[in-house]
Amino acid sequence: MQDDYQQILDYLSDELDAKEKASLETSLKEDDRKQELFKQTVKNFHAIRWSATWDTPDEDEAYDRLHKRLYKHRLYLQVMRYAAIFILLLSGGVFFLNRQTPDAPLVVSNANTETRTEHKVPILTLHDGKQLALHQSSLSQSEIQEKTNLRLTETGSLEYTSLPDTVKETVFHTLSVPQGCEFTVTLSDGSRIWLNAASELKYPETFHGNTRKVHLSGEAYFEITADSNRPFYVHTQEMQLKVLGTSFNIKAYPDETETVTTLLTGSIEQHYPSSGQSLRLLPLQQVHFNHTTGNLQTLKADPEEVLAWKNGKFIARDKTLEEIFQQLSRWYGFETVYLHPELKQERFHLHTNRYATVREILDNLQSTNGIHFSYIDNKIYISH
Amino acid sequence: MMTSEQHILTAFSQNPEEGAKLLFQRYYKPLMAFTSSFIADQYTCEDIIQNLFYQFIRKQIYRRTAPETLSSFLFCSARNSCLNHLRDRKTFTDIEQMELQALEEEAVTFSPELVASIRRAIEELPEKTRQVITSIIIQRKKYKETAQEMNISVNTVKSQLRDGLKQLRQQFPASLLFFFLFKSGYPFPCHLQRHSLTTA
Repeated sequence: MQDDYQQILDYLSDELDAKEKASLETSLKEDDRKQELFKQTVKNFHAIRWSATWDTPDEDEAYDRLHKRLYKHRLYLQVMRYAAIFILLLSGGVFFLNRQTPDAPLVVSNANTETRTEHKVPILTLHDGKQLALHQSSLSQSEIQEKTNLRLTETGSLEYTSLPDTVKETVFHTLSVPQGCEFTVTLSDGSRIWLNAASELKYPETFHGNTRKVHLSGEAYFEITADSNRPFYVHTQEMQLKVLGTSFNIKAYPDETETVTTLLTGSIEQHYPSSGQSLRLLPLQQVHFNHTTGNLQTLKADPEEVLAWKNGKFIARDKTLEEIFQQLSRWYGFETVYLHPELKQERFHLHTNRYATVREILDNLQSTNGIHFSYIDNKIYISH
Repeated sequence: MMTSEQHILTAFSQNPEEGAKLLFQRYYKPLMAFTSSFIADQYTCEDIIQNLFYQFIRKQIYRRTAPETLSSFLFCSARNSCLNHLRDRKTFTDIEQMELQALEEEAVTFSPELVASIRRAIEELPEKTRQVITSIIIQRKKYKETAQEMNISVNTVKSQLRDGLKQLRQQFPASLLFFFLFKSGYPFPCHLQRHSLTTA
């Protein structure tokens, strides 16, 4: 207890090196009581600091500055306002007089922006190009039943089992998950893969030989069955990844500028053919590969944020509006139009249920401050 | 007597200029204290709060704000503006996040009365203890530097710091109560926040 307290004081007095900070961080996460002690001590430290600097800011000067900024142009604005109304009325009159056939009024439709798109289902493409809709209602008539090694479970996920070794030909299947959907597949080796919206996975019906290889476009979370004799490979457009037995998340959407790999457990090796770089990841590391610059950046992963999609949530911490809307639009299937492009770079925190309506999410965002959303057809317009 | 949030918002609905005055009296200094914990430069902090208040009044955000959420709104917005300002740092570590959360909790309850009582308590500390508290906490000096200046050992610095804090802690009845009452909760409905009120 005494040591804990000393350690916290050392941290707040900036006397700890990086390694000691990390160990304090770990112990705070594990020990709720220590965390409370930490917070309480932080409060005390800062309260003392604040009491010393309390009178430094010049409140009166700041108030005058604000007052001037708010009210200096008041009279001028009044005059301008009436002038503007007058001009608008005048031009409006001229406009209507000159118009023969006005355009149809803009109809604000909620159909697609209200809830996520429901009608789209994942599609399984067989090696011969035949396509099967993976949906409960199509289950009975589907050809899936004819296949002994494949079944669609009650919970709506696809499961493969290994075919006997007599079958030697490698046959590829492609699973496409549209916008607004997510889907789980268990491959013939027992590895489970969660596919996020707008993603595609190509894999052999049964793994033959001494490697296991799949292709991914989009985002997926992998739990790979360990098999040291048969390493597992994931190929994306920009990256090749080798694993033995582990869990990790890959985000490799073609319309994004980065490929992001997050390792949760185990170990993986990565290779980026375009830049010739290779590296090995440790658990809880996240690697960002920039497609245009070829830069690799390794960061500490936030597992909760990375796996939020798989757990039915959206979590974004300190992300730009552009990044957030890229994710949201994949799920809800709308288009985003920025009336003020500079808004793209504004940063937000977002923590919400993935099954909330998009309105709920956006209304919340809108109410916080000056940002504004308009819904027209399948588009969301973002402005100040 | 402190201006209540209800009072501020009522004033805004009658006369925004009066509301602005009350908002300033109640929140300017706590927000300055809070933002200065992230950003050392005082002028940047002033600008951040200036902009926050300006947008709050200009965009009439007070019309959509409930008394219970006013202070969380202001502190969240201030925090987000600070984070936006510190763009070069991509993420905060977990320990920094915990620190932030504690800071925000403390800043909301901070008042001129508390300032006065803390100052009084510091005055009442034994000479050496007061010097250590001032040097380490307020002037942010290192243990070693403090020890050299005061001609004492680093261990004495550490023990004086502990003693001083122990005595000062008795001056924080409000925050201790806060601590026990709201131990588990994060008091701000702050899941979804724009980082900055200021846009081009």
